[in-house]
Amino acid sequence: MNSAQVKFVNLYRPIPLLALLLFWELATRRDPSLTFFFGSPNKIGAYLFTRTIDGSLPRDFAVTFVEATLGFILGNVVGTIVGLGLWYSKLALAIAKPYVIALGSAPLFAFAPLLVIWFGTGMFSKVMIATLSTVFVALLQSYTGASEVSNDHLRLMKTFGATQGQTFRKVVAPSSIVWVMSAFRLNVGFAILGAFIGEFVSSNAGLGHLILVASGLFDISLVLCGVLMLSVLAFVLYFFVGQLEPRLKRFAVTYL
Amino acid sequence: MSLSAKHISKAYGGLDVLRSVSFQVSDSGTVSIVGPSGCGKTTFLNLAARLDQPDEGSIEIEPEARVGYVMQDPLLLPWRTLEENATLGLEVTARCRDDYQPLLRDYFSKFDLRDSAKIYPNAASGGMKQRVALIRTLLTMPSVLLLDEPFSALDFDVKLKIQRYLVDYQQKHATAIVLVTHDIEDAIALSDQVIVLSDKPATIKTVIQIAAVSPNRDPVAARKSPRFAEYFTRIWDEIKYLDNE
Repeated sequence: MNSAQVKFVNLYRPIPLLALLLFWELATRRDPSLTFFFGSPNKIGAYLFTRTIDGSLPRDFAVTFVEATLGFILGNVVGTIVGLGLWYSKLALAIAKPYVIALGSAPLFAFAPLLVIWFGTGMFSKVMIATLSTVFVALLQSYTGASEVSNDHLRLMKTFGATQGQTFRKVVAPSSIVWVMSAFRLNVGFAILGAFIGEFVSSNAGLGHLILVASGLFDISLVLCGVLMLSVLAFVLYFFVGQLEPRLKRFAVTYL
Repeated sequence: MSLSAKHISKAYGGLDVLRSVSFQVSDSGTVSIVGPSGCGKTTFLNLAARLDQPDEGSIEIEPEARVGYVMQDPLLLPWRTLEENATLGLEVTARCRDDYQPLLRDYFSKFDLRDSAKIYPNAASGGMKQRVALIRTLLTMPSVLLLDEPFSALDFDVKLKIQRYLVDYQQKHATAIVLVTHDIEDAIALSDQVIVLSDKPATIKTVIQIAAVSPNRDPVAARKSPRFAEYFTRIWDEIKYLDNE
């Protein structure tokens, strides 16, 4: 995009949102009963304000943020290491493949109640659910990245007499970064979903807990307030992931 | 170092590519292989670099020799700068690890790449990438050097400069060179022997001994020599004849 187009986009991007808010606010003012079903922007705004002041919203946000982020990190690190590691051993891959596919495609959230039973109702069980919901995406993506490495580059390393370990460090791992990064981006959503489901099943804090309680009270504005904070959480995680890519590439060239 | 190929045959999927090819490259010697495209020239280099095994025959290289192979495609790693690409072979072979920086800078300035050390391959021209690929192999100090069309993307003046440098390198390190090329002029200027291969399956059609056409194998002086034209005609006649077959 050229700079004129960027300006145009920045100018017009908020318009659909503002139009929606305006329509929504006007409609709920005209017919207050609609607020019961749809909430209203001004009530959502009020919740945002009062719950930020009394500290409960930042606390719920922080709880979910920590659960999702820890699960995100754990799932991605373990998944990426195992996925890249499978490149190393064809035998291990052959043995692991059906299990990976079976577990990766199973609706892991069905296991959420089990994990709460095993790991308790505290934060740890949510971190585990977020980990489980991210680990297979990271594993499959990084394995695909490693197996997509250019055959010519592998031959090149062979001409230098490179060992399998050197080939892995110099070529396979760095060339998989694109795939690993796409796993990270997908997993932002999965990590938040994992933490959220965990809180939905059993919790005493977090945005999932807030939404669960609010929907029990039919307080739609508070539910939407929680949903809004989940989006903010996703934005924050996306931002960090975006910062990671060039650093990861530099790291691979410098230290591997 | 030297290399000797004895009755090499190789087939891929039932298709004969090389049939009973034999020749020898001695210390500080250069053999060029020319022939129709797709006739198995690159296959020979792949066998010599041990990327593939011959079906019959053997390629003997002294065990202490360091084989360097510059493939036709530069194959630079897109996430490394040109400079970092050039050190890839060095990082793997771990030769002269501590003092490679001055040598690296020297190569980059000699090969007209001084200002391009920090750029990435996607911003580099084909010729630049080809030069980096050459540096990447030369930095590992090969004593047997296999070159597959290493000058194909270079401007004429840069090409002559690099050929001059290669000859110096070869004389200093007593390197045996096998050059695969479609450029007869390069073959004559750099070689002691030019081997003309026939079309598939490639067999050796003719071996032409090149008596030094210029003092110190200077690539510019070589091209000015009257004997150069004679060799050119002889080789050209062989190749032309192949195309008409």
